[in-house]
Amino acid sequence: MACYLYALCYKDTAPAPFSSWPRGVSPGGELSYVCFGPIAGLVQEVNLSEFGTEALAQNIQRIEWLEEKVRAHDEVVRHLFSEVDAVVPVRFCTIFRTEERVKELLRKQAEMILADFNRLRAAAEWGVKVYVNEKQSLQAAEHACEVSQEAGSGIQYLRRKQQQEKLARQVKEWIRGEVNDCHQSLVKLSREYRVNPCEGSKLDERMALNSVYLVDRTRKGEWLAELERFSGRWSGRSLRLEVSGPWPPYSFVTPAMERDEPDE
Amino acid sequence: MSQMNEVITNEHMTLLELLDRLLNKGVMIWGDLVISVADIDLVYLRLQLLLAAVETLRGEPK
Repeated sequence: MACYLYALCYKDTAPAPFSSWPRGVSPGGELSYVCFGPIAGLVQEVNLSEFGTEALAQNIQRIEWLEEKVRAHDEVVRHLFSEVDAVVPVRFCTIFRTEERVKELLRKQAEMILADFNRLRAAAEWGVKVYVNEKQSLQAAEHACEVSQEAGSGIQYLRRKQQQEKLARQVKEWIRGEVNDCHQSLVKLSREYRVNPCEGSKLDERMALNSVYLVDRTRKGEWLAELERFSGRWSGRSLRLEVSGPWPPYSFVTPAMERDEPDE
Repeated sequence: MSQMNEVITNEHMTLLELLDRLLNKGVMIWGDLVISVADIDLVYLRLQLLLAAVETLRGEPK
């Protein structure tokens, strides 16, 4: 048996009993807290035949297993997050040999954990992605400016080419301006934010913004209204918002600086 | 805006969004039996490709 760590919270707010909780990554394994000082770590007993180093290396290659466990992990963290003010989520599949080892870590990292409780308290994470269909916006602009699509010759052709290039620049600029405007408006409503690289495109769309924002739970209404504003403004204009949240503050946890010597 | 509401419900959370947060972030504490970072990176990369392909397929009939 080993000890699977989900998240940390203040000991005095830690909700119990666990009867109405999601079943977690190891249904049947008991949920409990391991405490050190004011910090409580939410843990579950897991079997090494499933979560031991070798088994784990095999299991995470299976997408069905991974999906099931990732969702189960998130459900537990989310449940805790719905009941308490300050939650520090721990990375998926963080497993300890004994409860003593968890305590030891809480002791070593206590300062950082308490600082994170403060930073993250009463706030939720929101993910915002903006996708843009550049081809479509350029076509729309050309249409609006009545750029002739007919094949001409000589001077006509050159003039049209120039006109198109100018429009393309303007469209690009407009997109950049809109995306930036959206991001800045969201930053104003959030406590912290992180800009992630824009990876991945979908069919004809290019990702133009990929950010996460830490927003006070009390500002949720304002936050959603702002998103609606941009969504409305962009409707039919080849810019598209994709929003996810509220999330427990997964993306805002301070990464551990050093690796605690594992005895493998 | 119905599209907006749809986007915001958690049912629409894709697996990739979840993996992005659970595997990539929250790197807070190293357990005794953690999956090695190299392993995680590999799995994550592979899944990203796989899921992107699935999304593309799903998007195609539109």
